[in-house]
Amino acid sequence: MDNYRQDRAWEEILMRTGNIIAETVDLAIGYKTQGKSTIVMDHLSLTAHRGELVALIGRNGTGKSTLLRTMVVLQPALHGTVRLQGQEINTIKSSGLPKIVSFTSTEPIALRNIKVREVVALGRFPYTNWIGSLSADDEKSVSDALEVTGLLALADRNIDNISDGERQRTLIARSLAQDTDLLIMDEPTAFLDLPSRYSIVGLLRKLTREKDKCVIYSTHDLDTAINEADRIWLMTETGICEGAPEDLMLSGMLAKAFESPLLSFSQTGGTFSFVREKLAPISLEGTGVVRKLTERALRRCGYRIEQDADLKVTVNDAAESTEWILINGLHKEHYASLYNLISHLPAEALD
Amino acid sequence: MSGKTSLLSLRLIMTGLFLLMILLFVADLLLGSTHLAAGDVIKSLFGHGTPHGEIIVMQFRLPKALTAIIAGAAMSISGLLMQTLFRNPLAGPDVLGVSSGAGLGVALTVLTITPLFSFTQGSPLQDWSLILAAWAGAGAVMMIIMAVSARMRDIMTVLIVGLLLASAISAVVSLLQYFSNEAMLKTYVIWTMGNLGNMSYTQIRTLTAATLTGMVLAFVMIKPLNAMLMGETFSRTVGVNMKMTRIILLASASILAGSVTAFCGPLAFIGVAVPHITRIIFGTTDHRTLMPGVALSGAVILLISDMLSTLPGGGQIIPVNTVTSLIGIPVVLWIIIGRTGLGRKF
Amino acid sequence: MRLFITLFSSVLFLCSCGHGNRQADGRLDRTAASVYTASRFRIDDFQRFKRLTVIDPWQNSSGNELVYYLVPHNVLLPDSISESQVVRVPVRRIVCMSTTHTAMLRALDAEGIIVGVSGTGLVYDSLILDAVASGRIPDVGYESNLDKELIVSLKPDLLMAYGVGASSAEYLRKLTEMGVKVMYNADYLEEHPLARCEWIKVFGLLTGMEGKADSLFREVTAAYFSLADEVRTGVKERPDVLLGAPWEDVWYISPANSYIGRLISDAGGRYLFDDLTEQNSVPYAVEAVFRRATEADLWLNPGTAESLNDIAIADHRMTKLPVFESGGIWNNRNRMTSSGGNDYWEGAVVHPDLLLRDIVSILHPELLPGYRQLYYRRLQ
Repeated sequence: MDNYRQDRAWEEILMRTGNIIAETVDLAIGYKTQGKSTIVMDHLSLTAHRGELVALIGRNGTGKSTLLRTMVVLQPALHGTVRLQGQEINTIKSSGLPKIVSFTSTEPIALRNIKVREVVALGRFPYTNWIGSLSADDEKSVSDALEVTGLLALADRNIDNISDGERQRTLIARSLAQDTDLLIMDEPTAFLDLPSRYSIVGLLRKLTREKDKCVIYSTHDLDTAINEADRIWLMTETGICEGAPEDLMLSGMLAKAFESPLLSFSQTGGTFSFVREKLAPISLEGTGVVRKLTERALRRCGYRIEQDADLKVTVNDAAESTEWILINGLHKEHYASLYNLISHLPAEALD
Repeated sequence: MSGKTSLLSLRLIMTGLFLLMILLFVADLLLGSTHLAAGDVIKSLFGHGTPHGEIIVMQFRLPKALTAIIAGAAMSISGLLMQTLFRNPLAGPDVLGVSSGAGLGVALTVLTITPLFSFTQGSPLQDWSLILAAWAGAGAVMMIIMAVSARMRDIMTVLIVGLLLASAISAVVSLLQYFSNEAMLKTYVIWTMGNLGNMSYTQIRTLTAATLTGMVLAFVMIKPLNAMLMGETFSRTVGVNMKMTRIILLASASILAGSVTAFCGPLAFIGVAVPHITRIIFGTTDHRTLMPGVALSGAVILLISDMLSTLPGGGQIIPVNTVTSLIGIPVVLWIIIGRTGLGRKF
Repeated sequence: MRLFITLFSSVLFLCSCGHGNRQADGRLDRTAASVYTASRFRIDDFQRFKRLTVIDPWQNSSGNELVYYLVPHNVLLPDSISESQVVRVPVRRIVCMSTTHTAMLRALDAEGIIVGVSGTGLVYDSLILDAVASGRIPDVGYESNLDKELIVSLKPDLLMAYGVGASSAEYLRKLTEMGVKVMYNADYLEEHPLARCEWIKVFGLLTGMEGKADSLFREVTAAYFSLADEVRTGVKERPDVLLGAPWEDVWYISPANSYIGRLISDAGGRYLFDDLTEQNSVPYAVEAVFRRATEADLWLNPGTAESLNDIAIADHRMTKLPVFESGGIWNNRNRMTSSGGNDYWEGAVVHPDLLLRDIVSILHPELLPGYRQLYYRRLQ
């Protein structure tokens, strides 16, 4: 499939101003076994810019990890080039690469007896002396990284004595200490609970805004990606397209990438929901937040909102309490909660 | 390192460990398996003791104590390197099959009717024939391991090959034992029990040179080793040349373990247990501390083992390997079962 | 931690118990007179047949008796005796598991009945070696590579075996199941050379040459005691004797009541470790042995060493011993074949008097001036 590029003109402007920090040119990614190459995806031409939060999303098995790993020379590119800071990665000295890009993999830390500060200090590896001692500058970088990630208070705790979210922050702090303008992360929010996920993505966003770093991260978490990322790299089985989250929603690419017989994507809401087969008609009267939430509930139960239907729900949102009135033909019933209303809806419409 | 206070306590512990080693060294000289007056021992060290005392101290106790320190340090460092390289708390120098290789060399010399190393007969190298045979065996295994490592990406494959190699060699040695007579068997079995004595000063110098080589290689690897604690992916993305690192680590561990085994026979459990003991004493996984730490701990443990081998009293002894096993096995069991739990690695 | 110390010390304690002093069994009473006679077999005469009882024929055995009825071919068995316990004599085909057995048969000129030997490479006697070379006497192997099929095909009337431990009992039991008659020989467990030699009487019974065996034994005993008396009366000082050799860190010291220990004592020497009365040899630290070794006047049986250089190579510290500097080191490797057969372990068993003579001439050359040793050679 051809590359799908949005707003080429904008791209060229940015290229000329030298704001591109990472780009792939006709890249083919995959793996080699016993001399035979297997291409997972090719003709990838992507860009990422300074100060940008880029989320790489796509279904499982499309090759997100492979792409990120190829960009940091962990895996060889089968064709095409990757340029970081304008230099082709093949020409960058192996001692110079860690100062340009930092990589955080999905590998968990399997140690017990190491402190948070020590983990972060390892990020200074490209700068320390032969035995790994930290200079004053190194110590400063470490402290800064701890501060930005909010880990100063935990700095002297053992790594197994902190929460999962804090452990993830530690890895991010480590990347920060490495002092690179580009940070690449493979699934940094995996296995975290909702608040932690948001907090991590928030941190990444802060890095791009306050420190002018470019962060490219892969994720399964569509919500945060769509809401927080500046740029999306959307990987499908046939290729990749990039752009602002809204661009991809408008063009229908996002929906196409993730839709299935079970799911449908709401463009305005930016969320996925189950496809409902039977939709019975129902009328709804009411305003404000309560109306919106009632709509949601009715939709979940397999109703579609229509002007004139035999079944009618009226919402009365008074100061002290809210009341739902269900009118079915001549019957009229009052309910004090949405749950009660729903339980009394006619059986055949309920999914 | 984190915080000034813990740096101070690390230094204190290291100094304490060093002093303990010196203390045990002196104790090992004073105790021995026969009674020798302490005054005589001290005077003998400076050449003013009784003739008998001088022989006992300079020819028996001093070489043994020095060997204990060198061998203990070398085997422990070798074990530390293996544990970090293979990310396995149960790894030790024997996982490479280097000790087995040394054993094969010795078996071929001792257990066959026409000793393979008979070319040394009559030459000045004669009393080195066993040592040379063991070294050659260890060296051969080291070459095989390096070759495998160069071809295989996954370090775990190298581990498996090492273990299989050790088993294969074991089978060959069993075969040789099968066809040998009692005297040969006994000689071989005694060799496998480990022995720190019977080292001439030339041999001690040679062993020291070999282990220093291995130790220097190990010390320059401290920084990459620390990175490897975070995983191979991290190490590579942060600038560690994994290929070179692996080669140097394998070479260092083989030189250390192979040399010690060549001179002292296989020393059981030291390589596996001492790194863990050291991690607990210092409470850290940082190789800047662990490298000198395991060296000192290893020396201490082996000095203690040497002294304990005279426990039966009256001149009778237990083989050194029995003592190190009795110390090492509970440690290994504790790693697996104890509070630290099996799921966590270090 | 406490648990660990307890565990550790109990294991050590158990280890040392293995070689601990054993209370002498009443039957194996070691009074001065009885030590010279075999204590591990007993012959009862029943007129028409003899009953041989072999006692405790393996190490650490106690209270085990094996009974064999030695019955001439033409004699009928009483009902009380089962066939399995009977050995028909004279034996016409025998397989020997040890060269001491072949030596005893050879002394009776009965080597013709040998049809198989274990370890033919270690045989010294030239007649038997000829028979081996011609194929008349095949090697039947030993322990786990014991060629059981070969033994059965040789159709021996008897297999003379010696027991070492549980494993060999296993192989021998298999042979019995296959129909081979096995007799246990406990000669190597006898503590005195004369007691060991007395086992020739058993071979005398088996070959029908009791008379020859008895007279041989009488001669040997007479010669032995005569020399021993000479020693006892003529000797003023007993030289200190060191035995064995170091290997790496350890020196296995034989107890005083061992074969060689008794020989040294009878030959007018003092074994350096005559205070050691264990069942088996004990591992000592070389340092501990060195201490006593500085007092040694003579050093016998230093392992496989055949020259002073061999000893220096094995452990350079031995060169500092006075006995090394004076060259008073002798080893029992004077009568050997190139493949390792040593008459010390073979013929000397039947001639303990000659063995004693060798050792007396080493310890007290003034008693036997100009004597050329048979089994021993001074190390150069």
